Amino acid sequence: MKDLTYKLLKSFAASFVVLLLLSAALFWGRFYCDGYLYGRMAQESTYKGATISPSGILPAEIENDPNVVIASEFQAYIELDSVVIATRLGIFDYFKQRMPEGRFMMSFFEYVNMGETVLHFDKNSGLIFYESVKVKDTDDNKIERQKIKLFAGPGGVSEKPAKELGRFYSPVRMQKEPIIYHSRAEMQTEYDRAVPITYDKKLRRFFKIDFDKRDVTKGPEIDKSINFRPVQIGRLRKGEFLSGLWWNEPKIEIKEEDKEAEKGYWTRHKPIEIRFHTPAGPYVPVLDERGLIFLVDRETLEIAGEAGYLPAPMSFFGSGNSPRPKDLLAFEIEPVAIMPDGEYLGMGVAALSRDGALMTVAVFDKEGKLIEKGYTGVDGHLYMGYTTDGTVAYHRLKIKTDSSKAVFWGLPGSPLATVLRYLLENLQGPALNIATFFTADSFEASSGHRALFLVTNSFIGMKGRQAGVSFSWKFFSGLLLIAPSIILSILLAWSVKKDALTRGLSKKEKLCWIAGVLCFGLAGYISYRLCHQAADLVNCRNCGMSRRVDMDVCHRCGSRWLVPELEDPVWRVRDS
Amino acid sequence: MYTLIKREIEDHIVYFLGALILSLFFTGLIIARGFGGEPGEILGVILAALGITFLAIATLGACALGTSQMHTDRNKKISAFLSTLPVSRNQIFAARVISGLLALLVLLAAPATAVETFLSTIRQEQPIYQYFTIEIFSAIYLVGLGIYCTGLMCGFSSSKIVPTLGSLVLSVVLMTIILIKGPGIETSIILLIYVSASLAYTWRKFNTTPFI
Repeated sequence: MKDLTYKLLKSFAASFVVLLLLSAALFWGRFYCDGYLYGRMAQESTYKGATISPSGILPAEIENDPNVVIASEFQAYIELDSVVIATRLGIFDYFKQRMPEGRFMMSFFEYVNMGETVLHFDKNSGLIFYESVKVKDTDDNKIERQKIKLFAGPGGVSEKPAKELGRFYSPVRMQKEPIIYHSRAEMQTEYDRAVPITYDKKLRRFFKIDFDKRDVTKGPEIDKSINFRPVQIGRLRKGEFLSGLWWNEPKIEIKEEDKEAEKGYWTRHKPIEIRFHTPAGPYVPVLDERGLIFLVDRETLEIAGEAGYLPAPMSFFGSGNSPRPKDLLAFEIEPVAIMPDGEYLGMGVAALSRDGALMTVAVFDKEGKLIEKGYTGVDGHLYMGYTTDGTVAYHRLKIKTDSSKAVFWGLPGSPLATVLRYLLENLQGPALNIATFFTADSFEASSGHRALFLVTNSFIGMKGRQAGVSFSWKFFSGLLLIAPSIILSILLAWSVKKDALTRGLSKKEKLCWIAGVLCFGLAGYISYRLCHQAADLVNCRNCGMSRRVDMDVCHRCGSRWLVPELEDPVWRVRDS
Repeated sequence: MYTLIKREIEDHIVYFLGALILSLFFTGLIIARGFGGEPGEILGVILAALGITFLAIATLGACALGTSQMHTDRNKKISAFLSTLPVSRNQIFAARVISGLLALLVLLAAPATAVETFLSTIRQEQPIYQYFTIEIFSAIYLVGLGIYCTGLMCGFSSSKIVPTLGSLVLSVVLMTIILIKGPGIETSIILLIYVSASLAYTWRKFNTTPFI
């Protein structure tokens, strides 16, 4: 029994060591392939952006103004170079999440106000700690710095933590909204307007904390029957290094006579006179756990309505289900309002797929209705052709390829890297590949890029997330996708079976190892080899096959060792 | 047991002295960078601490120590000789592992203390993640331990290629786990399982291989 326990311990130990080291080695292989694929796309594609123009959110009188020569537009792009691919590694994510604005620090809101303001949530007291340096110009042209420390709870703001302030339990961080200014005075006004708003998941209401006025405004309690679980407030975005979304206002042509006066513009066009505001005017956008975007009134803190949702980006196998924030590698929401009235016009929403290959852009009007949707793509490559007079000419393909497919097949050299990546994925073993198929949707998108065992960004993972097809079709086509892995495992298991017979392993042990190799493929096979070093074998006198020297009976024919017949010696020792 | 540990340290004193010198050097570097540099350079300090100690572990320490301990044993039949005395193989193995743990502790204790002292001085003024030092240094320690165990695992071989090349390649692969996953709790758990598994495997191999 003790021997069996030790044997099991050694087998499991060797298997884990091999699995981990092999998975790490395969990770770097896949990482190299990804770097190559995305790097090529960044270098050689005509571009990997998506534009929706005209944006469709502006009133007709602005968009159809005869002076407008370039319509308003939403522009999204993906950062695809190899350096950006490296930022998906866990080490970058670790530090990013632990910086003051990161997930672990709960800093709600941070902005520079001629000094520095820091806000963070103290879990122990349940209060939001505010620290700011106010800078004043004195009469004698000197700068005076005043440090302010305040504490805020649902009950108010105070200079010291007090019981009367109450406590927040699980506040949602507000992210700094972009501030647009054209002068120093305007910038100051904008910063002063920026008041943190938070939502407490337990108290189920919004709070506006005005540290200048030392006042906390409570919003109405949200009914428990409403399924509302905000995850972000203010500037709604994720993975800002990986992608971007811009709103461009309509542009008019600069007249010849005005060119001298418009030196600041390096193109022939300039924005129209009407000014826009990229925060949502009187509303603050709120993102829900389900991927729905709501607008909340900045004054009353009531939910004004649904403003849109995160669009589903396509993967290699077509569109997936409606994404939640955790299903996307990056997203960004750009609401637009007219200044100075602050009338909300609508918003653009960009969502980057898990694998980072395709970005979907959607535009919603002020009622929250989808106006238009677009995808990032590649315009095609140069190809050689012949003109009618027989001379060689280079043309660019006009067909736009969706970037989720173009990244794998559309560029020179990429098919080879794609095949290599596919084969490396198949070395993970059928059990891990099948587990990936079933859990492809369960993990946070960025964690898929640093996965060792369940590679959710693999082709089988993409298949697992495919929407709009029956499960049986998805499963069997998934099995077909991991056919190389299954075939390799069968071959290795057959080799183990043959070897186990030579070594004289017991039936149970043989079956266990065959099952292990069938499940884990190469990792199982290497573990088997590690646990079974070469045995000493001799020829069996009965069956003529190789048999082990350390066993009583031949493991092939069951015969015992042949003992030479003992005969009585002819001599005897006698007493004389 | 104490005698065995002492003997292991004496036999591999070069590694311990090397670890001590490097530890002092890195501690000095961290103090100079942390207390002498710009107050906002927290990330720089942490990254420097992480990178340098990491490199130290990779290049000189753990792998070579583990490989050397086991390879010398295998080829000079040290445990075969010691087994003639009232000492079991389990005790020899345990003494070896404890000496490895101590070597890593010598290397990392002082830099970790320096980083934590520096962070605690500025934590009053700036919001800094409170588990930085624990998470980063425990991950480095476990990576170092993992590499040391890989050295033990590969070192118990009579050939020369497996202990040197094999352990080096596997150590580099193992080291990259901290880059892949980041030095968080998840990485520490994976490394802890790896350390336990590789120790269990080596222990069984060490205990069941005959003295030939």
